[in-house]
Amino acid sequence: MPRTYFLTRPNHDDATHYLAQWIGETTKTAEENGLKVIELRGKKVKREDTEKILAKMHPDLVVFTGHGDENTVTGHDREPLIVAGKNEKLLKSKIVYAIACSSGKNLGPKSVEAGAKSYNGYAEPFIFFYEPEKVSRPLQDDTARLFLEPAQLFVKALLKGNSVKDARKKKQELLEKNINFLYSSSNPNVGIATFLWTNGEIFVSCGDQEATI
Amino acid sequence: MSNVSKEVKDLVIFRLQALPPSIKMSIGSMEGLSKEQLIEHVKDEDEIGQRIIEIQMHFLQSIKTGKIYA
Repeated sequence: MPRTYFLTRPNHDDATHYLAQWIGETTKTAEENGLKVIELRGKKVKREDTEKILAKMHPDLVVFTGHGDENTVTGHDREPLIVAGKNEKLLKSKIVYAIACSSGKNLGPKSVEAGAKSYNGYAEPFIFFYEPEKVSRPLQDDTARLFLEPAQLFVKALLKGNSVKDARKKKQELLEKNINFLYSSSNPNVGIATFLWTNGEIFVSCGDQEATI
Repeated sequence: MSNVSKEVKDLVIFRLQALPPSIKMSIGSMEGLSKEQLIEHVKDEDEIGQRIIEIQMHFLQSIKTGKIYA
């Protein structure tokens, strides 16, 4: 039975549009590595379908892109998909990554308590900068790349069979490389390095660090 | 009443003023924020402004303590 990768890609504002594009690229890596890909996109990112997929398809890796808070990750138009104390048990036996604000603070630990192998996310609001004139072409936005490529790499590393610990290491190395680039190149964007560094600081990983998909 | 000293706020605003005008910040579920909007949030010390102050001060503190090099 092929391993399965489940990705949610709401797309209702600039932030979700960028995340949908950048993290959407990981589906190619999944297919190249023999995984079955299940995606919910745009208006279809709803709680009911998310719950059905989690319960019936038993994905090995679940990636949420979108918004969130300490207890929640959301889908289209900020509809709550997973809420601590309500349905986090659906994440049992899965490796999870939420590229969303703050869910690593409480939903992460609660999900691991409920049986998730690993929950990875951010304890505070996830921040990225972007170039407004590139909104129609997010993958060509070199400012956003500095922030979103490390997140993308974390997913790709997991899809290639790396452990959570090793995927974290790769992500952090790229993040630091990007910070060094900002400081070493007389880059006018050097001021954003502070925020890029912060994304590394607020990343949290709960559960089994040796887990693989 | 403000919990943030004028010196800290001025320092954070000074650092934000160095950002290029052509980029926006995505934070939370807010629409993208320009440099000028970020500075206004800091001046107002609202939720976004307080978070930006925390980030800047934590970064500077980490340089001071040698946790990071800049």
